Amino acid sequence: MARVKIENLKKSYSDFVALKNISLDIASGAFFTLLGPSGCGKTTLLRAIAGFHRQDSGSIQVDGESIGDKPAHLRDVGMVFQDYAVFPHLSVFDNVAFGLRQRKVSSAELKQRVGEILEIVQLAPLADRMPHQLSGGQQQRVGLARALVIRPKVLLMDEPLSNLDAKLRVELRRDIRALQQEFGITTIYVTHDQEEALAISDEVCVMYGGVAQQVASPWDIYSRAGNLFVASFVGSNNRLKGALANGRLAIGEQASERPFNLPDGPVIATIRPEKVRLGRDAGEDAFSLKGTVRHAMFIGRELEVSIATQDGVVDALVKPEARAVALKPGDPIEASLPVADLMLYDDAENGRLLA
Amino acid sequence: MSEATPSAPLRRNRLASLSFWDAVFALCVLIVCVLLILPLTKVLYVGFLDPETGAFTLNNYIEVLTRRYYVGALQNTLLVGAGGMLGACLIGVPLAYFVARYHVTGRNLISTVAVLALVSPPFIGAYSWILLLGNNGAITRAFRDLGVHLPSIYGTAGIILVFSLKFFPFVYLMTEGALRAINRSYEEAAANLGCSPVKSFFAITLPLVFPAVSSGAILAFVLSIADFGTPAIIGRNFRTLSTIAYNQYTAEMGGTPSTAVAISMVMIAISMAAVFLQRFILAKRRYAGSFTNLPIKKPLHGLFGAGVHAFCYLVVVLAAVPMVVVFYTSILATNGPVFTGEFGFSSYARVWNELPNVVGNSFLFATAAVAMITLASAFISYLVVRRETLAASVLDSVLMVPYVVPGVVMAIGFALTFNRAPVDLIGTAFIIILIVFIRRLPYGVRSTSSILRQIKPSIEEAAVNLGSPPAKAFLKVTVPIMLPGIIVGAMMSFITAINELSSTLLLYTGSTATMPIKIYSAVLDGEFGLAAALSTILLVSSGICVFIVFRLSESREGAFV
Ligand SMILES: Nc1ncnc2c1ncn2[C@@H]1O[C@H](COP(=O)(O)OP(=O)(O)OP(=O)(O)O)[C@@H](O)[C@H]1O
Ligand SMILES: [Mg+2]
Repeated sequence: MARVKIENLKKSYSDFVALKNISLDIASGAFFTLLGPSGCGKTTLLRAIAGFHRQDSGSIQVDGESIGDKPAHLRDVGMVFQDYAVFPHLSVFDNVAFGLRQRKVSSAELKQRVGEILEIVQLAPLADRMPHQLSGGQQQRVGLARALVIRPKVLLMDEPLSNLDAKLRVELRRDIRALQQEFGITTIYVTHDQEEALAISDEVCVMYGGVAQQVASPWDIYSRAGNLFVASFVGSNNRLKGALANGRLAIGEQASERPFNLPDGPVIATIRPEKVRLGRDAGEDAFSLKGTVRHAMFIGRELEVSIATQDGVVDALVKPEARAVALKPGDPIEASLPVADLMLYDDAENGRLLA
Repeated sequence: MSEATPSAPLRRNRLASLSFWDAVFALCVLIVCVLLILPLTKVLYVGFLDPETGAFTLNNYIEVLTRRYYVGALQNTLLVGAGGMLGACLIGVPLAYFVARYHVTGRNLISTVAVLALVSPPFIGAYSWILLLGNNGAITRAFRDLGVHLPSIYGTAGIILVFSLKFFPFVYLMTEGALRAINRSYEEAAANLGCSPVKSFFAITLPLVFPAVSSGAILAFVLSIADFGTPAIIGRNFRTLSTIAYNQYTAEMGGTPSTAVAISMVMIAISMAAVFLQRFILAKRRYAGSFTNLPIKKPLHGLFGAGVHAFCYLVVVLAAVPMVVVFYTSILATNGPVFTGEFGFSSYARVWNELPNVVGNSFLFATAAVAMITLASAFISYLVVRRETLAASVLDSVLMVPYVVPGVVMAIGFALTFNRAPVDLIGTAFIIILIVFIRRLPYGVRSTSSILRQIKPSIEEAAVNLGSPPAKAFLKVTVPIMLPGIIVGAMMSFITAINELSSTLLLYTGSTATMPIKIYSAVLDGEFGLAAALSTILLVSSGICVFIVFRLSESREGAFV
């Protein structure tokens, strides 16, 4: 159990700044996920915490103790690698025992602890195998067991599931989450798979361009995206230009009934496709945009309808009812956007959420 | 499917391809049989003959394996082999680690010197160190003037020193390549689990590069025990199997060289045992290198940095000593065998006036052998790589044999085989060219095969598909793509061919002497100036080839191992 505190962390590769002033406060025992597109600095941050490279400035604390200047092998933060990094010349047992041997654990205790953890990750029957005799998922379990068995204060995982197939990914991520809760170990998890991030995290940090864009619970990240980047990166989103005038939101020629307590000016409004409805609902406070169907695609549970309106393209995700399934490109249609489901952002490059 | 399909033209093509490549295959088999299997069988056979009566006997082997004279030589051989291997590892592995993992200033210089040391004439190390540390060597005299008596360079110590400095580049180049291809995550995982850097080197890094280290080490071992020139020059009374095989052969000249042959077989057995041992060890350890997530070089600071640089430069200096000494000696003015103490080109003048045919022979023989090697390797690699038949893979395995057969042994085999009509080649230039050809063919095949493996067969199939006959498709499409690699292979063969001594020494006559042979006899006669001038010529020719290889090959030093 350990609280991880990162303050003003900066890291650059020669002249390229990979991390700009990252500050995070991760509660003890939390499952904390770094989510972001490729190249945003997730690995860089994780490696700084593990001590594989030194930050330019800033501090890293675990349980109040500053570890930013310790060499990697003295840090006591376990890591699970994206490419498994299971030592190819050691058996499963020896891989898992490796960290304990470094800690000079007595051989009786070593046997017992390795046995226990192999039991937990369901690898006990494979203890004597060599890594090349294991599947990818099994190798990743070895990596997990190897990191957990030393009972580190913090567990780091860099896209541990990205090399596995979709089904195994879902299975293993459940296991990981269960183990993490059982051990109560503070975990920092890196992924660029948003579904994975939302599914297993207590808190998610969305990163972009070396900056932490938003830190919040998965639900808040999704429903109250802190800025336009988060809004469009996590899940899909419709974006519309609008303006606030006299306390009302205007899109195109329509204005909301509901008042907004915000200063006048241009804004960007976003709405999730699943909130968009087809046709007009009388009496509701909603924007109704007339347009034509660009395409309608049945994607299993839902029907995705893309509509070209005067105010831009609006995508809707609706139940596949007979009327909707029959839609063809070019058909006239009306999209209804409930005002209550709209989020408003500054009209800027990466506008902030307006309260 | 009916017989009369429109694919008839295609089928004819395939038939044509069968007959063409089958002819090539038959030719290759013939060459290998006549030049490799026949001489070696002859060697094997003669070892079982009584030299007096010609009857079958095991006495030759019993004698070689029991008489103190031979057993002593066997022990010596193993001693210098193991010593050379160990020395090569002790120099090569740390050097590789430093160069692969740290920003060592002058990395290119280090690898260039390593490669030059590798391709320099085989015995110049021995006699350069004699010139420095021998009884009358420059350093010995300098210390003697100060009242310090240095230990003798002759014998075991000198041989091991020369072998270590000569063969460490194999270990270095192979290990460095492997170190650079290790996935960075392994060492990071070790650190993450609490392993200090030094411990992680021994627990993780070294086991992972062990296949490469052991390949280099075995190569150093096999070459050390086969080397003839070094123990002959610096060994004094120190006998190894290759020197006594040579002496025995020259003593038995005219008669049946049964004892020399028995010694030869023992040498082959040792080399093969070493190679099999290595294969056995490696069979269980094959780790794929990684092409992503490669280690990052760390900067060097402080005392550690100074130590690392000191070590690297010391190795460079020691490895470069023979070349510098040879060049320096070659531009000292001489009067006959005596140095006058001034600079001058009299040694080169002597080469020019007295030995133009020796220089000419060397280039002529090497060029001829290389032309044959290049042609044969192109075809053989095609058979091995493209037509993965059992026969082709047997051919490939048989071509491993010259790796483990010492030059002296091969030469004895040739002398026994091609010594009477209809193929009496003794004393001809042809026998020299042929022996160099067969001894170096495997290297050519290996380098061409590796290039060929990188070229997709579909390219050639496309040409055939567009109507080009298979042979033409190979020559017009595949060969041009392979060309840079072929040239690299040819340059490497040229280097080894022009420096060949151990086999040619047994087969030359006055008119077919080559530079290495002349250097050897000049050193024995105390004609150091002449030897130095000839060695410099060899060194410069090899250096030019190295330069061409560096220009043409992607992984520079990688081409040499
Ligand atoms: N050794 C390096 N030298 C220079 N730039 C680097 C180096 N390593 C990473 N970068 C750059 O730093 C940025 C962040 O890299 P990082 O590996 O942290 O990304 P990431 O978020 O982990 O991406 P991914 O999801 O693709 O793994 C990238 O733009 C990358 O190009
Ligand atoms: Mg990454």
